[in-house]
Amino acid sequence: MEPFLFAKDQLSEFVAELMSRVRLYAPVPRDQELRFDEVKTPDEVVLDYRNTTKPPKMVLFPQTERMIAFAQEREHFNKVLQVPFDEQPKAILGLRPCDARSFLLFDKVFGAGKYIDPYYQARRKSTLILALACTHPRPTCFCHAFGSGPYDSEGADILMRDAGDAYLLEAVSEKGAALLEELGLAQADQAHLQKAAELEEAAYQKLVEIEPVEGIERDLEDLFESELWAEISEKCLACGTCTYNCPTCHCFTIEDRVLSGGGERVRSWDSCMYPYFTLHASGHNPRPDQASRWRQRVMHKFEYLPHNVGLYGCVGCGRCVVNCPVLLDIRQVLRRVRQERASKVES
Amino acid sequence: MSTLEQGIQKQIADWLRSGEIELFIGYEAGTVPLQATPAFIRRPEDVGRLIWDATCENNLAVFLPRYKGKKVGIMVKGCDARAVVGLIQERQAVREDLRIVGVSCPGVVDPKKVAERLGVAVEDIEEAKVEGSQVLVDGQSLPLEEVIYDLCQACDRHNPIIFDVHLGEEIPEDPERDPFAHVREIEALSPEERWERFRQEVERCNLCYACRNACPLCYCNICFVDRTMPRWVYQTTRPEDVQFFQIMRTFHLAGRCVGCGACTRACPQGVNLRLFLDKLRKDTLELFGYDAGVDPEAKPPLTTYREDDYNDFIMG
Repeated sequence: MEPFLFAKDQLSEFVAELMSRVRLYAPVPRDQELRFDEVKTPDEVVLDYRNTTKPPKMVLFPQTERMIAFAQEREHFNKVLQVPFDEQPKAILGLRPCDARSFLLFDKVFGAGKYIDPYYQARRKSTLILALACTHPRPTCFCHAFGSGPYDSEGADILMRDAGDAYLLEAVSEKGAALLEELGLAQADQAHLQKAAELEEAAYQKLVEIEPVEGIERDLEDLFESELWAEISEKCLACGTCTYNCPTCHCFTIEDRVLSGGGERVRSWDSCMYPYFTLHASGHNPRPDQASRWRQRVMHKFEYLPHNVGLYGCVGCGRCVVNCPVLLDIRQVLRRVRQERASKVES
Repeated sequence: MSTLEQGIQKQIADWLRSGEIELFIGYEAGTVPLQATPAFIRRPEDVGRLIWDATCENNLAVFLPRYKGKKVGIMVKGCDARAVVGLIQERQAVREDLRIVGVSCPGVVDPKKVAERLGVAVEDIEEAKVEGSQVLVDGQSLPLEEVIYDLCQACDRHNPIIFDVHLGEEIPEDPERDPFAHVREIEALSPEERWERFRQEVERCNLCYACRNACPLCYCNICFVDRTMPRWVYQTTRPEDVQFFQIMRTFHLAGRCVGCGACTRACPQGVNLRLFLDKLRKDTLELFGYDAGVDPEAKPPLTTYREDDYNDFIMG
């Protein structure tokens, strides 16, 4: 089946159509930035953009999420007042292929194996992913180091491609195919297919040269006790910018917010960069310094996850690079890992 | 990117060679245009990596408390030098242990402003460099003074007040320049409008603590947000938690904040933190005649009492 198409000047009609079916999330201007948020009006969606500062993971994995609520009154003691699984049909429109792939990792962590996270799972199952291929990879982008690329459809239900004055839509999953069938869009013509192919070709030309990440998990195996971690982490300020802006970081903390009259149990993002992250009740901290925290960050993303679930904890979006207040560049860290391993092998 | 002058390089190498210092904290070229990155130099042969230009935005004084008791060299701009003074005052650094390269700074580049001028995002800047008073980017030449941080445009402390070696030409201060113009705008608002402004500003905060961790004076061993007994504040983005964190952090810096703007530059969400901190700096200056980070021997207002101290808030 040929791809479907809609004209760019029909975007708000397309958005309105989606909004009539699902709760829609897309890049919209909020608080002086472009962010994935619930769309309020069809004409506020911006698809002509490079990428957002905050990743779309917050749609499926909100930074702060209520798990249960409780009241202080005696009759409600120990009684859960609310378990809000979000099963309402949703869609995320216009996220980049790197961000779409990040949900594959979330699926492995929260949606598979021995423990299924019901909060995530409910959201994920009711959410359709309409990814938008990337025509302008940035100098900080390195999705291609993972064997992916700006037009990768993995993780998406529908892949949208820029075709000049229109977007082409192609189903990737059955869910995506079902939606496209319902929408009844026009079939793409040869001219638009041609234009889309040209833009795709141009996008690949923009990718910067980078060494593939594959195999780094084996390089890391011998580096647990390395001096490298102290060197890498020396300039780290121990803030959570890299982790909070990362589309794949998924560590969280759970707290009971006890307020007057009751409270809530909330799950919030946490960061392995924070000293408090691994602090034990005894006062002991198994990761006492930034070197051990950086080792964890790199090992988790590039050794433990590939071993445990078969995916890297990084999609190469570059957000941690540009947002780091001291420009501690993960690409450079990986290069140092390779060098360190090579020098160890030599000696 | 400009390598450090030969003379300065040689001085740092000599300090390292003679054992006067074991570490020099400076800047080296970053992996992204218009952004330098902190460099930790331990071997004399590595001093060639050091650079100085308007991309060196980090306040390196933030690293000093980590090396307390060690002999360390550091590169500071005018504003950073005040943070070093603050750390010496608060016994987080010892003057005799430091070798300071103080640089007269015309202001550091705000990559966001450069990107805005080009109509792109910071990540899209492919090649750019600072040459003298110009930023050369994408075939254009932008005057440096137009694309430096707001803070730098309001700067009245271009020259370091503490150093062993001085770098660059002394920059004359403009006595007409009002470093608190942005504060006056807020002061003119009603209390309700001010609260609304604060509320909106911190709404973007996502508690990454980049502000706290980039701040040289935020060096508590355990920050109040990391305390579990009692749990002062929860780690959620509920507005009251975020507001509480920002208010507490701001007030903990009253009479201590030197106005270097490291917090504001570090914030990935673009929260204008310096607006709140500068209000406290202005109050400290006007009510107590105290300017933080000027005199290493001075007693900060919160640690002293004078009979002529401002008392109106108590006596009504």
